[in-house]
Amino acid sequence: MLEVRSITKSFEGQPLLKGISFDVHEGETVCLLGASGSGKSTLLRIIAGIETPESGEIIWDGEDFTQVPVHKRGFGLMFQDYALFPHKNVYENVAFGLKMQGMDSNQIKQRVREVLELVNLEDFASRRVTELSGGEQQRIAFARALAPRPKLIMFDEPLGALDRALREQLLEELRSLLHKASIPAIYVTHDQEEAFAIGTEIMLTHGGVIVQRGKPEEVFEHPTTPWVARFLGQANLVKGKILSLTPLRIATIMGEISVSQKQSMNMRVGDQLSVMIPSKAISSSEGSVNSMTGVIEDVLFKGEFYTITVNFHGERLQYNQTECLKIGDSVIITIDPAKIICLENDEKQ
Amino acid sequence: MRKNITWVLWLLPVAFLVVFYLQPLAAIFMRVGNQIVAEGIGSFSFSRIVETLIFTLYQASLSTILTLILGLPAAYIFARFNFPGKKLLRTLSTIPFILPTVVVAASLNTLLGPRGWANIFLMNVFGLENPPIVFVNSLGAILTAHVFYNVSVIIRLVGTAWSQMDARLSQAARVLGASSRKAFFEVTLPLLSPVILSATLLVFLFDFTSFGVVLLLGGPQNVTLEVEIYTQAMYLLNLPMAGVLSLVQLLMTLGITVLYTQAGRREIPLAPRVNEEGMHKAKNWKEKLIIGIVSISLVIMLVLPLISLGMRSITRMEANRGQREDVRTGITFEYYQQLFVNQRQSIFYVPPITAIRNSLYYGIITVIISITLGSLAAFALNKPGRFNQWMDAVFMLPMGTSAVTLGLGFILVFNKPPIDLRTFPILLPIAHSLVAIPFVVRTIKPVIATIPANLKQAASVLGASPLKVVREVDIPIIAKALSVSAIFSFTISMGEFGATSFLARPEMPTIPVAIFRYLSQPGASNYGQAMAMATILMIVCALSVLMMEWLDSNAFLRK
Repeated sequence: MLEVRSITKSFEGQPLLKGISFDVHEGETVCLLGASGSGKSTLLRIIAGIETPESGEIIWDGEDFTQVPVHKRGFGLMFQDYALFPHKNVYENVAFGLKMQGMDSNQIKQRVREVLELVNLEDFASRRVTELSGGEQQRIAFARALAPRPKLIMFDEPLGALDRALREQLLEELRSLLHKASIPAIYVTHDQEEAFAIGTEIMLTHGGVIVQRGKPEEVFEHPTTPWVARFLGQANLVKGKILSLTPLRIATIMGEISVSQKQSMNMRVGDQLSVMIPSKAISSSEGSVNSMTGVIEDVLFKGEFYTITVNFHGERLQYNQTECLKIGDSVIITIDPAKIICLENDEKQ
Repeated sequence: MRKNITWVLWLLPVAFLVVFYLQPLAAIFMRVGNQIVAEGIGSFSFSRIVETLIFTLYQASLSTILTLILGLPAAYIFARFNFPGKKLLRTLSTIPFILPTVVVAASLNTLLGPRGWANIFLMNVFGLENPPIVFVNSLGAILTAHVFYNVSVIIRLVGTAWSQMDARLSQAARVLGASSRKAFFEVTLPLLSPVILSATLLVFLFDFTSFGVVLLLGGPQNVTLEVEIYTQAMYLLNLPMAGVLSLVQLLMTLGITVLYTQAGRREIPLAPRVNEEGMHKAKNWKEKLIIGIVSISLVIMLVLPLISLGMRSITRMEANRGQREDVRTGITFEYYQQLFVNQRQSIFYVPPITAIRNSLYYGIITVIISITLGSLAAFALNKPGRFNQWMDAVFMLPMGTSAVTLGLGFILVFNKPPIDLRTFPILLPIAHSLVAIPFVVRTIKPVIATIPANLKQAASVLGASPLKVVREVDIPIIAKALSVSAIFSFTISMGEFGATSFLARPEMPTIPVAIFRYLSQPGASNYGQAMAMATILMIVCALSVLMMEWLDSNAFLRK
C-alpha cells in the first residue's frame, strides 16, 4: 500500500533523513521509534505532504504521490498536542474534513456521531475544545483524523503531553480503536513501551536511517546494534574482544565469557565487539561456566522484584530477582551462555 | 498591616491623579455646564461641532483602511517568513512609535512639501515654474502621516499574534482536505480576526485623536476635533466651545476604548509550541515578490521621509527667497550653528538652543515624576483586591484622553490666580507625566508580578526589613523595566505637542513648539533651522527607540 522510497531531507544544512525506505501494508501499525530530533516527525510530515523531501518518492498503491498536494492525499495525521481548532467546537472540528470533502450535512451529522461514539464522547458535540481535558482532546483529535475515512492514519507522538496514568489508559484505548478501524497506521514515538504496546511492527530510526525493523519481541530480544539495545532498555552491554571462535570465548573487564548461542555477526579472532547480557540471562548462583564474583552496588525495590546492580572490576551488570540482597556484600552470579548476544560496535564508538 | 502598606503606596499616585487629571476634566464639565445654565444650549454652534465630528470620523476611517491595506501584508510577511533585512526592518518599524508629530510633519514636508525634494526634482527635470505636487494642507498629507504612524501598530499587534499562531492548525486543515485558500479562510482568518479587530480599533483611536500632524499638515480646511479644540481655545478664546468639543471627543474616545477592550477579551490565546516554528524562507517567486514589494514599500515609507529631513537640514537652498541671481546651494552646517544665535528677525526672545535646554529640563522632571508615581502605582496594583481592579482601569484612563483635552483642562484649572501658568512651569512636565504614567505602570507591573513571593520571603527570613527587601530583591529585578520606562517618559516629554501647545510659555518654548513656530514663519533660514531642530529631535527619539528595543524587545504595545 504505502511505499516510502529513499527519502532525504536536511535541516539547517545538516542531513536529517538520509534515504529512508519502508513499506506499510494493510492492517499494519508501524511504530517509528527513535530519539527526539531524529527526524521522525519530519518523515511523517513528508508522507502527509506538509513538507517536501529533497529526493525520494511517496507511493500509494503504485501511484506516485510525491507531487500530490497535501489536501488531495486523503491521509490522516494526528498532531502532537492535537492542533484542534480553538475557534470551532467539537462537532465542527470533527466535521471539518467531511465538509472539505463536500459531503452533505445529513451525512456529516451521521458520520460525526459515529466517530464520536467510537471514542465514547457522543455527548460532547457542542462543547468548546478549549474546555476539554487532555485525554478528551486526544480522543477528539483521533475522531477528527478518522472521520473522513483516511487511507492511512499517522500519529505524531500523540500521548507525549499526557501524564503517565492517562497515557497508559489512552494507549489501551487507542490500541483497540486502531484495531477496530483497521486502517494502516504509522505511529511516531520516542517511548519504547508505547511502541511495543501499539506497534505490530517496530522501526528504529537513528542518524537519519532505519536501523532495524521487526516485530516488537524480535527487536527487543535480538537488537542488531548496541544503540538499539540501549535504546530499548537493555542495560547490560559489555565491551569485549574475541579470544577464540569455537567455542566462542570473549575477553572482558569482568573476565572471560563463553557464548554458546550461534551469532549472526561475522567474527574473527581479535575483533572488538559489544556483548549484550539480557537481565534474564543472569542468576545469582554458581554454575559451571560464566560464573563470576562481584560486589553488590545497589539494590532497588521495584515492587514485584528487586533490581540488583553488581560491580565487576568497574563493569556493572543489572538483573532482577525476587530475593533481596545487601549492598556491599559479594555475590556470585552466572550468565547463561545460550542467552548472550554479540553485537558489532557502533561506528561512532 | 499589609493593607496599610498598600494605602501608603496609593497615596501619592491617587492624589496626583485627582489633582491633575480628574480636576481638569471636571473643570471642562463645569465650564460647559455653566455656559448652558447661563446662555442655554443654543449658544453652541452645533453645525460646527457635527461638521468637525464628521470630518474627524471620515479622515480616521480612511486612514485606518489605508493602514490596514499596507499593514496586513506586512504583518503576514513578518509572521511567516525569514528574509534578509527582516531584523533591520523590524527595528525601523518601531521608530514611528515615539517619533514626535512635529518631526513627522517636518519630514513629510521636506519630502513632499512645496520646497520638498520631490517637487524640486520634478521642477528641475520638467522645467516647471510651480511645484507640481500639492501635499501640504491636503487630506492626503494627513492620511500619509497616519499610515506612517500606524502601520507599525498593525505589524506589531497582528504580526505577533500571527507568528504565535500554531502553524500546525492550518496544516491540520490542509491534511483534512482544505486547499490553502480554504485553510486561510476557515482557520487562519477566524483565529486572527479578533486581534485584527482590536488593532483596527486602536489605529482608529490614534487617527481619531491625532493632533500635531493635522494641525501642521492639514491646513485650515481640514479640521478635526482636536485641532478645533485648540483653535477655539487658543485663537478664538472661546473656552466653552472648546469644552463642548472636548466632551464630544472624550465621549467618542471612551466609546472606542470600550470597544477595544471588548475586542481584546474575544481574542483566542494562541501559544506557539516552538518559537518561530511557522517561519520559513520564501519558497517560490510569488512569495519572494510579495516580500520584496512589501518590504521595499515599508522602507520607502518609513525611511525616506526621515532621510529627507536629515538631508534638508544640512542642505543650503535659498532659491525661493526671490533672489534668483544669488542662489547658493550645497552642504552646510549653518542651520545648526544658527541654533545658538538669537536672530533679530526671529520671533524668539531667546536663541533656539534654549528650547533644547528647556526640553531637556522638562524631560528630566517628567522622568522623575512618572517613574516615582508609576512605580508606586505598579507596586500597589500588584497586591490583590477588588479596589485594585478598579484602580488598574482608572490608571489607564489618561491613555484614552487626548493631550489637547488635558491641556485645555489645565488651562481652565490652573491659569488663574493664585497659580498663574507663567509662574508655574512645572505644569508642563506634570502634563507629560500624565501621558507617560500609564505606560510606566504597564511596563513595570508585569515584571513585579513575576517576582516569586518566596524570593521576598527568603530575604525576609534571612533578616531583611520590608524596605531592604524592596531594595535588594525588587529593584534589581525591575531595573530593566525601570530603564525602559525612564527612556520612554523622557522621549514622550521631548516630543509631546498636544498639551504642550496649550501650556508652554512663549519665552520658554520646547523643541516641538519651537519647530512649530519656525514652520509657521516663512523664510528659508527659519525653515532650515526648523529642520535642524527636527533632525536633532528625530535622532534623540531614534536612539531612545533603539535603546528600549535593546533593553526589551517587547517594550512596545505590550498586551
